[in-house]
Amino acid sequence: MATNERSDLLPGTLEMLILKTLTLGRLHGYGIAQHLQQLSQDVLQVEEGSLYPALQRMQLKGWVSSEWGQTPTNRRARYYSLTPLGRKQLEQEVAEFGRLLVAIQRVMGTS
Amino acid sequence: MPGPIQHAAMLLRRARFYFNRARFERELAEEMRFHVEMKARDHQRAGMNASDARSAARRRFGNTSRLQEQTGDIMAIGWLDGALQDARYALRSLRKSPGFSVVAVVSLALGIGVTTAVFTLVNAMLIRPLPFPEANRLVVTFQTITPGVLFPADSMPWSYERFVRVRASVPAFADAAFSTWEEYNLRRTGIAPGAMPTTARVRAELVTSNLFSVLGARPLLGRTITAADSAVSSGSAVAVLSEPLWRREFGADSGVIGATAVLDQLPVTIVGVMPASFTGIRESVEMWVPFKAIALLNSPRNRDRPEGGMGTVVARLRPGASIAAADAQVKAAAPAVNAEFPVRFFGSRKSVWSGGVVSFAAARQHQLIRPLLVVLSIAVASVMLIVCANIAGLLLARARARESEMGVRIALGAGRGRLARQVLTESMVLAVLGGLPAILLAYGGASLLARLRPELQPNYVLLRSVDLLQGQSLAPDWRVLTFVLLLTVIVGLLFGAAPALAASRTSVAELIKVAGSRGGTSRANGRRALVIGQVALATTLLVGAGLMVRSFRALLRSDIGFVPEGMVKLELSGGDSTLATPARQETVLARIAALPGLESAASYSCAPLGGNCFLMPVAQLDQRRLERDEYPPIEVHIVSRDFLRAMQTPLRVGRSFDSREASGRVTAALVNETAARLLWRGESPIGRRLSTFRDSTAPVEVIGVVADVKYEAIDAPVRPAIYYERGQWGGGSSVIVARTRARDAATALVEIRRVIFENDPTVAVHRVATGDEMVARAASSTRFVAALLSAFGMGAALLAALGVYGVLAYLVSQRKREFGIRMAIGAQASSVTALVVKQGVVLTAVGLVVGIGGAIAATGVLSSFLFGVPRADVLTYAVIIVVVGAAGILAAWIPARRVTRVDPVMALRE
Repeated sequence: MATNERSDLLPGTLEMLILKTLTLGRLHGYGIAQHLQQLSQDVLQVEEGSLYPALQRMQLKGWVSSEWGQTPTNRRARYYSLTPLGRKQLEQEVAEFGRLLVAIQRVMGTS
Repeated sequence: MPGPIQHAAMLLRRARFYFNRARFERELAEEMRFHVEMKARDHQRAGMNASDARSAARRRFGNTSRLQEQTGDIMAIGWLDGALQDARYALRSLRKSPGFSVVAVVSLALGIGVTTAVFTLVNAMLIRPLPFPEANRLVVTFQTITPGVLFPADSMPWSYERFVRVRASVPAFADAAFSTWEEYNLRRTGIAPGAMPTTARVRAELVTSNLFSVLGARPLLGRTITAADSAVSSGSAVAVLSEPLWRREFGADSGVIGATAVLDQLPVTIVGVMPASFTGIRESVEMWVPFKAIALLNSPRNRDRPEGGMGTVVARLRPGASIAAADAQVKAAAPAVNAEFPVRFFGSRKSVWSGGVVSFAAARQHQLIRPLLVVLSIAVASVMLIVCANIAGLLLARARARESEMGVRIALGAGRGRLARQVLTESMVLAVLGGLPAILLAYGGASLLARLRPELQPNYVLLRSVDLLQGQSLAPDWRVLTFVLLLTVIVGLLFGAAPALAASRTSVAELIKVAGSRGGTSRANGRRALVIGQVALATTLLVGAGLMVRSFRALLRSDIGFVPEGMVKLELSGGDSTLATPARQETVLARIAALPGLESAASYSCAPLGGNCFLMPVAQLDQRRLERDEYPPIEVHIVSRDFLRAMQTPLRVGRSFDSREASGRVTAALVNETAARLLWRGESPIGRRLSTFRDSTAPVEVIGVVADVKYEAIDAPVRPAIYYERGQWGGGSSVIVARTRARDAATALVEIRRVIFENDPTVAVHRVATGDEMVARAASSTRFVAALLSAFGMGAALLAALGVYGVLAYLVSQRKREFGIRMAIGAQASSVTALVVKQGVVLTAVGLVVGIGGAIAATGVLSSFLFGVPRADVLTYAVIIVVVGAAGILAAWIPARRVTRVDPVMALRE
C-alpha cells in the first residue's frame, strides 16, 4: 500500500491535524484545508489534494465518517465528522505529540 | 493498536469498496473537483482572473489522478487487487484464442468431472459415514472356525446361541443385535375375489427386536418390533415393511398397519413401515420379522443347520469404549464359548471357534469393491495427469508465442515474479472454468458408473455395500465439493507451473539478439518430457485395458461346463408340496419339456454361476473313514435324472442316472472331474465308493464322471462336486433349467411359468434368466473394468497423440527456415520428412518403454480381475506397442508432411 504522500509535515501529523480540525464539527475536505491554512497562517504548506488519501485511510480505520450534504451555497459536498474512535485516537496522538515536543525542546535547549 | 473488531470493520469497509468501486471513484472525483472549484472561486474573489485562478487552484491541489490512485490503493487489498486484475487479463487473453480455450476447458471439465465422479463413488462407499446416528460406534462381530470347512473365514455366519453367550460377556457393547435373512413368498390376504393372486418374493431379515434401537432407526408409520413380539409362540408373527415394499405391494396405504399377510405359511401382522432412508444393514432387505419366527418359518436354509439360525451380529459400543477393547473381550470369551458350544461341523472334531470385532464401516465392504475402486482411481488419476500434461504443452506453446510480449513487459520494468503470477493466474482461471461444469459432469458420471456397476453376489453376512450407490448417496456433499475445489487448484498448479516458470525466465537479451527465431530449447525439452509422460501413461492404461479385454473374452469363452445358448433358468420357492416330491416334479418337468420349442427340462438344487451351493465333507472314501477334513468340502447337487441334457454338460466317463437307480435309497452318484482327480488321483473312479455323511453306513457307488461345471463365479476355481439323483434322494429341487430350440427364450419362459402356475399357484418364480444373461452377469465386473479402462485408455492415447502432434508441429514451425535452406541446397523432401518423423518416433519409443515399465509395475492392482491371461501377456503388450507406435508415427507424420510444402524462398525471406 502506497502511503508516501508528499507533505512538508512531520510524518503522521496530517492525520492528527485533521482530527483536531474535525473537533469543531462536520466539515468538507475544502473546509478542512481552509481551516488548516488559516490556523497555521500559511506556515504548514500542505499539498491540498493529499488530504483525500489521508481522509480515506482515516475512514477505513473508523476514525472519521462521511456523508453527502448541501453546502450553504447549495452545492453537493462530502462532509466528514469525528467518530468516538477518532476522538480517542486524537487524545492519544495529542499526548504522544506533547511528549515528543517536550523531548525535542529539551534537546534543543529551548524550554 | 486496532483490536480484532476494528480489523473486521476494516475488512468489511474494504469489501464494500470492492462491490462499489465505480461509485467510490466517481464520488472521490466529484469531491476533488468541488475542492478545486471552491479554491478557484476564492482566488477569483481575491482578484485573479478566471483561468489564473483555476490553474493556481490546481497547482495547489496536486496531481489529481495520482491522488485518486493513491486513495484507491489505500482501500484495495494488494494481492487481491493484483489477482483480480490478473484474472480479468487472463479472461481477455483466453477470449482472444477461443480454439485453445475451448479445447483446454472441455478437456479439463472432462478430466476433473470423471475424476470427481470416481471420487463420488469412493466417498459413498468408503468415506461417508453410514446413515445411522453415531455410526462410528457401530461394530460387527466376525467369527472364524479353524479349520474352516464351509465358509471363507470372512463370511462365517454366527449362530444365535453363540451370539447370546458372547453378548453377555462383552461389557463394551451397549447393546448387540442379531440378524439373519431369508427369502420368502409374501401373499397379501383379503384381496378382492377374482383378482389374480400374486405372490411376491421378498428378502426378509429375521432380527432380534433391538436391531432398530442399536441402529438408531425410527419407523415412518406404526412401530418397530418390540421385545414382546420376539416371544413368538401363537403361530403368527409381526412384520415391519420397508418403504419400497409398502409402496409396491401395499400401494403406500397408511391403513396397512394392523393388516395381515402370509409369509410362506406364516400369518404375519404388519405393525410398521420404515422410512425410505432406512435400508437396514443388508442388501435389498424389504421386511423385518422377529428372529424367533424362524422356528415357524420352516426355513430350509436354517432348518438343516447343526447350530440353529446363522447370521450377523451388529453391536453399538458404549460411549468411550474402543473397538480394540470390544475385540479383546470377544476373544477372551472364546475358551468358555468353545467349552459350552463345541464346534460340530458334520462331525469335524478338531475345529475351534474364535471371534472378533470390526467396525461396521469396514465390514460392509465387499471384497471386490476396494480393488475395483483402486483400479478406477488409478485410471482416472492417469487420465487427469495426461490432461494436465496436454494443457501444459499447449500453454508452453502459447508462452512461446507470447515471449516477445513478456520480454517487452520485463524491459518496461515488470517483475519476473509478477509475470509468473500472472501466467499462473491464467492457468487457475482455466482450471476454474473447467472445474465448474465438472461438478455437474461428476454427478451424472457417478450415477452412470453406479448404474453400470457390476452385480456383486451377496453372501450370508454381506452387509449393505453396493446399495450405498443409490439415490441421494451420490448427490455431491461437502466432501465432493471440497474435492473438486482442491483438485481444481492442484490441477491448475500442475499445468500452470511450467509455463509460469518459463515466463519468469524470459531473457530479454536473447529475445533481442535472435529476434525470436531460436531460443526456448529448454522449453522444447520440457514439452518433450511432458509428451513422453503422456505416451507412457496412455501405454500403461492401454496395457491394463488390453489385459482386461482379454480376461473378459477368456471369461466368455471359458469352459463353464454347460452351453448357455438356448438355456433358460428359473428358481422356484415356497408353495405346498406339489413340487416337493420327485414324482410331482417329474410331471412338471415332463410338461415343460413337451412345450413347443423346448427340448428338455431338468431340475437342480443349485443354479450354475449362482454361488451358495450346499457343501458337505468327504466322510468316507472307499473303505476308509475320514475323521479329519482331509479334503476340501464337496459340493452336493440333487438333480433330476435327465440333468446332463438340459445343461448339455458332457459326460466324461461311465454313465448317467437311468432306470437302474431305484428310488428309496441313495445308491449311485456322479462326480465331476475335479472330484475324480482330487479323490482318486488318476485312477478310474467308476465303481469306487464315497460318502458325504459321517454317520452314513453305506457309501454310494460312483457311476460316472461329468465335466466340471462352474457353480460359483467363472473365475473361481471349480470345487469337487457330487451329484445325487433326486428320485433316490427324495424331495424337490428348486432350480429348473430348460433348453429351447427357438431363439426366443421370452415366449418359452411365459409358457414355462404358466405350467408351474397351473401346477401350484402358490409357488413363486424368481431369478429368471437366460443362459447368456447368467454368463453376462458373472462376467459383469470384468466387463465393467475392461470397458472403463478401454474408454480411459483410448482417451489417453488420443490426448498423447495430440501431444506428439503438438510438439512436432511446433518443431516444424521453429525450423521452417532451416528446412527451407536444406531443401534449397538440394535435400529431398522425403529426407526432411523423415527427420521430423524420426523425432516423433523417438518420443513415442521412449514413452512406450517408460509406459511398459509402468504397466509391469501397475498391473498388480488388476490381479484380482484378471482371468485366463497372465499379467505379462506377450500378445497384449505386442498389440499395445504396435498401436501406440502407429499412433505416434501418424501424429508425427501429419506435421512432417507440412515440411515438404515449405517454399524455400518464402522460408528464407521470413
